[in-house]
Amino acid sequence: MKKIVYLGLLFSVLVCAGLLSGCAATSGISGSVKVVKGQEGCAQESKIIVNNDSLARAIKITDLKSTFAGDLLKANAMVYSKRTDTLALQYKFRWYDSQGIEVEPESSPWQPVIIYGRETKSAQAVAPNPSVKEFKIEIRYRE
Amino acid sequence: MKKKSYLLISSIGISAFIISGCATTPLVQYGDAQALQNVSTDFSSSDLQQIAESMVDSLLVFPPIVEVTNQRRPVITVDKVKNKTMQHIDTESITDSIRAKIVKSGKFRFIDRTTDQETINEIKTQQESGLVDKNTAVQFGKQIGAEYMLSGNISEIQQKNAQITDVYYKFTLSLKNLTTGILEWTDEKEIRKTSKRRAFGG
Repeated sequence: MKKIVYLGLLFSVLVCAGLLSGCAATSGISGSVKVVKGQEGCAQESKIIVNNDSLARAIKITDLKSTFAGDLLKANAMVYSKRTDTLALQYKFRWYDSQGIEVEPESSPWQPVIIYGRETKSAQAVAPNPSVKEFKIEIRYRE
Repeated sequence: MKKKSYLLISSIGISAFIISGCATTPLVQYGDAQALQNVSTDFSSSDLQQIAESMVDSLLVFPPIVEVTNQRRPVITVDKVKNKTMQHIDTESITDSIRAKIVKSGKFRFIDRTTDQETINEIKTQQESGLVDKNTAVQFGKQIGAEYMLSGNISEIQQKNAQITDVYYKFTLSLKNLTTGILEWTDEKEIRKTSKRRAFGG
């Protein structure tokens, strides 16, 4: 009887813990690049924000770059996997004009990406219109 | 002993409550329209969005196209995308998304052949009904002809065994110069989706 009681207790505690912990973190890592017009042509200011330590232990944004194709901003981010197994991630680009206001907030979808162990992969996108002067890439685990 | 039994019953009761939740009313929620969708290997909204995004990005930065669009905004007409998959796919919805993104980039202009009959009816009314001022009535034969045509294909390769379903989609889009017949640009987007049957409860 004692055994059954303990087994029952253990089972229900496990069920509760499993259900309560259920949702994984949806925050991720973001990297942004702003094109700043200076006296000597255009310069780039980049910034990386980590909102998920577990993801930061798994990947690293090694490079953030932007160029112009005509007058459209082309964004490129290099992501390196520190892990040895395959990672399934998703990323999304956001675009901002020179005033820092988001351009077409609903325009770009989350894109799936698979990064194999110790691999560097690039994520690229093109701005929706010529007003874009700044971009941000958001990377997170797939839900 | 009695105390332990109470403890057991109450803890099982709590977990049963959490499992059942409040399941009496159906749960309706708004979701993120841009989120990745992993319901099945069928063609999904995420696939449509990824295709549109990748095609438009590729077209707008292709160097010969950049050269042309830097000087002027050429006119495009959209032909059909042929659906060669085994599924029902609204290919017009894909080309609509592509067209919307290209128009908003400000690099091209479009003519829309799907509303031609309505256009003819409207111009006829303006010309013949006597309701419209002759100076402002739109004339027949003044529309601009398209310089390019967008057309494409979507195909799938499906492989299956007892546990795994693997579907590969390929979307091809080309921009044809209507005067010379030359394909000025073409690109492909590939998507692979795999579903595995679970060992338990599958």
